[in-house]
Amino acid sequence: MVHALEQIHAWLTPGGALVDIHPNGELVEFRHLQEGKDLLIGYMQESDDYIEYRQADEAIREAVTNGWFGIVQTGEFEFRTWADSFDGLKAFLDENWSDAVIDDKVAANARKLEQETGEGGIYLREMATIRLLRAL
Amino acid sequence: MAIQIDPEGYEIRALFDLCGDLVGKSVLEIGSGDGRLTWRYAGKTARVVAIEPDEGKHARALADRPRGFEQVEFLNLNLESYAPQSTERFDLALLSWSL
Repeated sequence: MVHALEQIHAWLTPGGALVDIHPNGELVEFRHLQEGKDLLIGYMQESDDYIEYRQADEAIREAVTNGWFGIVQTGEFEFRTWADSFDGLKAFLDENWSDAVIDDKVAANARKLEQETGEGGIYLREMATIRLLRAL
Repeated sequence: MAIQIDPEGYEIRALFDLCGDLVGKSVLEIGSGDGRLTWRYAGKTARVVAIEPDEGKHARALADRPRGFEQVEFLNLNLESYAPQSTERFDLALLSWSL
């Protein structure tokens, strides 16, 4: 990761900038929104325990320490992935998020909620960090 | 299966809050996926090179290209493969969920 940042630094014009967006490492939430009620269904795990996000943070710190970049600004934002149903969301994750782990209890909670309220309104909530760094 | 990713536009708002609207900028996007974010920011850029190693996502990006985005070039490459062939310099590099 650090080598990639060094390479990216070489591709920037003088005074150029780098924006890095990656999950902030908080547990990803399955949520259900219906009629104004936004309920937490449960959490999604990753088989590697979100370690790559901590490694990304460390790589950025190292790039700053090495004098390649200076951090200009850091922010956070919410990132939602909506699906028609829990099973639809699960199928999407199976295809696109290889290390996602969904606990059986979370799946059961989601399906029970859908039986009670009807499908729709289910979403995955991630929190992401966004950083603007200036090339030095 | 209907999936909607960030229909609220929180991600592009966060990007523009940090960088402005990227008018006239040249951008190297690393990990551009299916172009989901690319199409949201690229409208006013001068040039975008978007690299993505996954063949399927790269193909979807090409298939979904909207009209009027001729300044966007998608390459089915990872960073290591792109490095030896590139001498181009950019105003902005964007690591979109790929570091």
